[in-house]
Amino acid sequence: MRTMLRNTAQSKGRLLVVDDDLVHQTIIGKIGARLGYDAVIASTLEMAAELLQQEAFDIMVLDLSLGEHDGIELLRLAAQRKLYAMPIVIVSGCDERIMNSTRRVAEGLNLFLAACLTKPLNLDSLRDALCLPARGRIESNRAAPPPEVSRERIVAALANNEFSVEFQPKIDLVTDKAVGAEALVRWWTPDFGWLSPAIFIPVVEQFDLMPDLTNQVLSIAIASGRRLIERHPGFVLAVNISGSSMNDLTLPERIESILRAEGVAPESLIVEVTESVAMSDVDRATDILVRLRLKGVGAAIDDFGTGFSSLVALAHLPFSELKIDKSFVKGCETNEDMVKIVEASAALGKAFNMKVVAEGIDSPATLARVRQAGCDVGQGYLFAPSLRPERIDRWMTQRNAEGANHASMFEPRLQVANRFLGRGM
Amino acid sequence: MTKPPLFDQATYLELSAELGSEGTVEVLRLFLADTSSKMIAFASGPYSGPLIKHEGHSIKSSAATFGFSELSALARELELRAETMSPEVLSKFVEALRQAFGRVLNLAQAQLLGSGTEIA
Repeated sequence: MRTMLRNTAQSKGRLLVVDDDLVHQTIIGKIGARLGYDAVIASTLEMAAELLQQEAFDIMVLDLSLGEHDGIELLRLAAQRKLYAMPIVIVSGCDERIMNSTRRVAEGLNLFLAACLTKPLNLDSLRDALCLPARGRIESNRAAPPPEVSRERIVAALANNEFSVEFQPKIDLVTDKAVGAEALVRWWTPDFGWLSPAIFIPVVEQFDLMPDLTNQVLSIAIASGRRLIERHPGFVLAVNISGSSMNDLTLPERIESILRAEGVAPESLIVEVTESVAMSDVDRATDILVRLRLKGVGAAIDDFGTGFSSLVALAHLPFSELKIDKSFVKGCETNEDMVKIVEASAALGKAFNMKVVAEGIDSPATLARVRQAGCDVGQGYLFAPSLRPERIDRWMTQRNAEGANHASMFEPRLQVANRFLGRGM
Repeated sequence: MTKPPLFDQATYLELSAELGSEGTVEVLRLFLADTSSKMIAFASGPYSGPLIKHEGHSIKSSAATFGFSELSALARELELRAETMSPEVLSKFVEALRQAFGRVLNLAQAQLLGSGTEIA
């Protein structure tokens, strides 16, 4: 272990440099010292692990290759020690794919990854990364545990019609016009306020109440969406179908009955089913989806690429739309691996004569990239978050009247959208 | 493919601007001493693909940090191919690396460290 004391009067804190390369550890330590850090250098995983166990550091620079060990082991240790607020700068001479995967490991461990830098180091980038402040978001997010929702509370909510829907618009990437929307379930209660679907959906599933909720959401969505369908020619409403609802062979008839009651054409509805749900009982899913398609209702494979059976689902089930999961789309313009997946998924969708939808478009750069990849439709905060029924009609009228170049007009409204950290049903 | 230059002075000056001239010379001495030890280790034993791959990885990045482009490029080749090269080809590559490092050493002593300066 070596130390390098800061070269400045004021301390910026303690920097841990973990690198088995003598030259790089010295350069990083010296730059840290010039920025005001007291740098401690560890050349081995064991040394670094001991330091992290015994001492506190304000930032860590970690080389991924540590002789016989690797930096991933230390990331796990940092997570075990709950060092979520400590910025970590990864440095490595490995290729970009390894760096990208490392980034995902760190994110999965909930660590604060300040930067991933390739060797030879860009000294400006290293300096910028060392100047990042520590974060406090993990602690603040964890301060309020989610409320416990009982079965009785959900039954009461269903009886009192407490659930509602919002609509997130879907945009045709050629004409730039809104051509549909995905209905997302919302629940507001006087006792809990707005509850994220990420909290209540698993509880609804756990208590076998999903078919009831799906029924209610289908009814509300189709009733609320009828006005949009009437006022905007070609508008298609998308509704998510849960796993337990896909076990119910009467689902096509129930959907048909709701459509008939609301006077909505089957072609104006598309059901979204995740590949994992579809593949859990493929014969049943095929039965239901074929009958829905025969009735004129569309079927989308949702979150495409995230399960283990994406290609099987595509080959066996009669989907008319493929939705590329947002985890591949978000920021794909800066990640060659993700671009390849988006392009391959779009090509697959086209090969099966499906409409291809890119979810999670949050920036003009991502929009440009998914357009280039051949996606037909886009969805994401760049266009709009989910909107209440009374707002989406006005939003669509305005958007479709104003023509092209809308993307830049609609600022991402992340604050509104962040109310819901998870997705709807 | 064009052979990379022995020395990219702009890269060295960038490092120097960041660490100061004394700091840069200090790190350069470390690099030269460390790489000398690696070259001696290469010369002393039968070539081991995994070991040379590991050292190639290290030399590649460090050499590039100072602007020693030719040495970095050769080290990169070794890192990528050491484990699949035949012993004869590996031997030739290691010899080319040693010669490139010799040129770096001469240049450093003549231009960067000052004459008569010990490496470590």
